[in-house]
Amino acid sequence: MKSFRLLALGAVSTVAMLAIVSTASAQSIKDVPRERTLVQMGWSQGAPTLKTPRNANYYNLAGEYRNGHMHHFEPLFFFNNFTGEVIPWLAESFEMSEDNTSVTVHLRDGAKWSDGEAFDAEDVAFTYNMLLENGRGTGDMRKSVEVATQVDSVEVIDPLTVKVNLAGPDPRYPFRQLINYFGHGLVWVPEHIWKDVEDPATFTWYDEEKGWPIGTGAWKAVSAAPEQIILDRRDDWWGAEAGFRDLPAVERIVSIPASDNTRMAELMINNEADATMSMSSPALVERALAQNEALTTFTGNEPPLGNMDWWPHALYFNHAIEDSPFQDKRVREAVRFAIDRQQIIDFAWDGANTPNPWPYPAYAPLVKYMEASEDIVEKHRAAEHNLDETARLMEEAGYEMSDDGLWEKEGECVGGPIETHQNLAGIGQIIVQQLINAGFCAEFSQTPESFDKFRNGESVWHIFGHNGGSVFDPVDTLRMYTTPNVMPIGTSTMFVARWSHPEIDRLVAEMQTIPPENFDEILPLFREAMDIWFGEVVEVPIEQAYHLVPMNTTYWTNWPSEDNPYTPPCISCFISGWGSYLPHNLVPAQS
Amino acid sequence: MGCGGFGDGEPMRILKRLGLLALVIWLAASLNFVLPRLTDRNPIEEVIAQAMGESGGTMQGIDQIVAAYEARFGMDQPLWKQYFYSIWDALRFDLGISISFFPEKVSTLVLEALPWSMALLGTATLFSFIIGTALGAATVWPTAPRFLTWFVPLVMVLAAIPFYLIGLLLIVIFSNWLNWLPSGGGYSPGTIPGYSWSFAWEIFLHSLMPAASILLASIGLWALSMRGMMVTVQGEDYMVLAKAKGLKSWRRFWRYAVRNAITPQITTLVLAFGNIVTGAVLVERIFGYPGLGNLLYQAILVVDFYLIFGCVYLLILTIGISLTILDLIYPLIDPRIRAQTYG
Repeated sequence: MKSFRLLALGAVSTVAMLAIVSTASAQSIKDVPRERTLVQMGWSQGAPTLKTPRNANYYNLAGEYRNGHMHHFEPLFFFNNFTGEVIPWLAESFEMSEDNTSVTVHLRDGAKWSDGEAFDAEDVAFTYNMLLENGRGTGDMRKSVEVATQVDSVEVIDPLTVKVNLAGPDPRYPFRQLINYFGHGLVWVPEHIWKDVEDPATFTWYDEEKGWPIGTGAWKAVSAAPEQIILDRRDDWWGAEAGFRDLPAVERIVSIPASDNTRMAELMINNEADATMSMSSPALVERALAQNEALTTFTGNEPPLGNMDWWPHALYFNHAIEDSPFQDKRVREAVRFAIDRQQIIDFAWDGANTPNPWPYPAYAPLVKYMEASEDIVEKHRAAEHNLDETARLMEEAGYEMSDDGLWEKEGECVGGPIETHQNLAGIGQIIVQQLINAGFCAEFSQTPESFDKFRNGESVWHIFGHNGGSVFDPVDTLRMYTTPNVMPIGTSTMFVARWSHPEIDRLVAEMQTIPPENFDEILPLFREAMDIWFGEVVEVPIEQAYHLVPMNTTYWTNWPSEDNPYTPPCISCFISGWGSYLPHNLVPAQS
Repeated sequence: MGCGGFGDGEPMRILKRLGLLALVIWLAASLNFVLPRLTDRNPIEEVIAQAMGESGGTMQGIDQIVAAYEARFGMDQPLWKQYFYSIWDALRFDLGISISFFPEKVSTLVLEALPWSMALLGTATLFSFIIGTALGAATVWPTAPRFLTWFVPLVMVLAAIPFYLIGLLLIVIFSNWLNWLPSGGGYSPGTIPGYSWSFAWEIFLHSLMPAASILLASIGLWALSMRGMMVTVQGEDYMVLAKAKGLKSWRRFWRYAVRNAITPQITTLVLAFGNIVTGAVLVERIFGYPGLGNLLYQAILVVDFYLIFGCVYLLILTIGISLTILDLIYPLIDPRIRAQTYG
C-alpha cells in the first residue's frame, strides 16, 4: 500500500511536470545573460498569468497584446505627452489638407517586416481597408467601428506615401489613429500575410512554426506561455540596417504577469524584475524603495513617486437617473462643497498628489488653458471646501438635518452606495467619510461588479477617472459631455457622467474644426464650455492621477524621469503599445 | 460469494452506480449552466467594454459589436436551445470557446492550468493525507513514542488557521526575511522551461511554500479525524482478540486498527481532490501560481460562461467519477461493507 502511494505520487508529479514543460515551450532558446535581459511586467488584470499569450492580434477584442507582444509592432509615430513632441518612427512626417479632410503620411524608407518584406503604403492601406470593411459590417474588431466612422477611404500614392481621406473635417485625426500614445493609434499588419486570413477578427496571429507574428519591431517572441513571454532582439532589425537608430541594448525582453501589488513589490525588491505595471499604493512603493536602493521612480524617491496619467479622478453623479436627488443642482453643489481634496490627498497619498478641480490632467499644453480660466473656477467656487455652504444649499433644496445627522426630505436621505473603481478604493473610503460627516448617507462600495455597475449606469454616484480624455488640447475631455457620447442606462460606457448640454455640443463641434495648436481660437470656446460645466456641477473632480511605477537600476539605467521625460515609464499600461518605445532607450548598468 | 470476489448482484450494482453518476453529472452540469446566467451581467459586453474603454475610444458601435459576438457564441438563441447545445457539447467533452480569452478553446486553457494544480495540490493533498493520518493514528497508540503527542496541540492550532493566512506568514518568513524561497510564481522570470533537472528544481522550489501552507493547514484535520476513529476502533472486540492472540504491536496497529479506522478518511480524501480544481483559488492567488483556481477566478470576474462551465465541469467529473470508483471498490477495502452489501 505504501509503495503504491509513493508510486501514485511520483506518477502525478511526473505527468504534471511533463505537461507543464510541453505547454510552456516548443523550441530551443539561446542563453542571454540577466544583465542584457529586461524583465518587465505585462498586463494581467491582477492574475498570476498573462492573458492570451498566444494571441498577438491587436484587433481581436479579447486579445491583450500588452502582455508583451506589443514589442513586435511599431507605430508610425510615438508621442511624448510631457513635451508635446511627435516622434516619427515608421513614418517620417504627415500633413493635413487645408480643409482638414485628408492627411498624407510619408513613410520611412527602409522599414521592413521581420521576414524581410518591405513595410510600405500597401500595408497601411490594407490595414485601413480591413478595418473599414469590418467596421461597416460586423464591427467585431477592435477600433474598426471607430475607423469606419472617421475614415472614408485610403489611397496609396506611391510605396512611401499614403493618403487617408476622412469622413469629415478633423484636424485632430492624426492624434486619434496615426500617432500611438495612451489608448490612441493603430497597429499595422503585413498585407502579404493577412490578405489570406479568412477571418481577421478571430485570427490569433501567433504560430511559432510559421514565425508569426511578423512585425517590424526590434524584438520577436521565441516563447509564449501564460507564465511569461520571451522576446529576443532581432539583430537584423530594419532600424539599425537603415541607420535610423542603433540596435537596442536590450537583447531579451521577458514579460511576466504583473499579478498584484505585493507581488510586484517583492519581485522588484529581489531584483527579479526591472519595471512594474502601475502600482496603486504609494506606501508600498515607498517601502519597496526603502528595501532596495537600486529602485527608483519617475520622481526618484520624492513624492508623488510617479508620473501624471491622463485620467484625473472624480466623484461622478449619474445624470441619467431621473428620480435621483442629484438631479437638483443645489444638492450636487452641496456635495462639491463637502469634499476636502487636500484631506483626501493627505490621507490616501501621504500628500503625494495634487488637488484638482478640473477634469483635465496638468499637462503643459492643457495647463495654459486652465491658467487662463482660473477665474471661472473661482466664480463657481469649484475648488472650495465649505460645510456651511453645504448646509445652506441643502436647506435651500428643502432638506432638514435629522437626529442622525443626515440631510432628509420626506424621510429619505441623500446618498447610497458610491461604486468605486478598484484602483481608487483608497480615496473612495475617505470621500465617503467626508460625505457622511457632511450629512449624506454615502456608503463605500468596491466589489468586482462596481465597474460594471457604473459603466452600465446602474449606480447613482461613483468614483472613476477620465478615460479617453484630453492630452494636448481640451477637446477630447469636453467630447465626453456631448450628446452622441451619452449612453442610455444599460449600455456600457466609459463616459460615466451621462450628461450633455446643447451648448457644449455646439462649442465642441466648433472647437473640433480648429487645429489643436490654435490656442487663441480655442480658448474663448473652452472658457464658455467650462463656465457651463462648472455652473452645472456636472461632477466633482478630486485629484490628478499618477502612475506609480518603480524601476530597477541594477541592470538598466536611463529610465524616464522628471529630468529626462522621454516617455511614461509604464511599459505595459497603454493599449496603443506606446511602451515599446521605452526599451529602445535603456542603457546597460553593467558592462 | 467467494472470498475476494463479487456476488451475482454485482453487475446490477455497477449499472445502478453508473446511472447515478450520469444523473449527478447531468444535474450538476445543468446547475453549472444556469447559475452563471442568473447574473444580469453580459460577458461579451464586459470584454468589449474593457477593450474599447482602454483604447480611449468613444464607444462607437458597441451594440453592433455585442450583437456580432452574441451571434458567434450562440447567445442570440433561446435559452433552452443554448442549454441543450451546452449539455450535448459537454457530453462530447467539447467545452467550447472562452469569451474572455477568445478565440482560445476552453479545453486548451483548462489543460494548460491543470498540470500546475495537479502538481501543487495533488502532491500537497496526498502528503497531508499520509502524514496527517499516520500522525493521528500514532498519537493514540499506546506504544507509540511519547513525543508524537506533542504534535496534537500544534496541528490543532494550525488546523484552525486558514491556509491562505499560513501562506502569507510563510512568504514573510521564508521569502522576505530569510530570502530562502521565491515568493511566488510557477518558476523564476526568464527561466527557460525544459526537461532538465534545473527546471524541475525551479518548479519544486516555487511549489514548496504553497504546498507547505496547504500541508500545514490540513495535516491537523486529517490527524484529528483519524485520532477520533482510532480511539473508537481500539475499543472493538477484534482489537482485544488480536492482542490476546499475541500479535505484535505494529501488526495490530497497521493491519487491525489503521485499516479499520481509515475508511472514512479515504472518502474525505476523494472529496478533497475536488479542491484541486477550486479550493486553491486563494493559495494560487497569494503565491501567483498559474493553476486552475486562478483560471476559474479570472472566468468569474468577467462571468465567462463557457470558461466557468469548463472549470466547474471538470470538478463535477473529478468528484463524480472518483466517488463512483470509490463506491465500487469500497467492498474491497472494507470487508464489512461487502458483508452488508451481499449478506
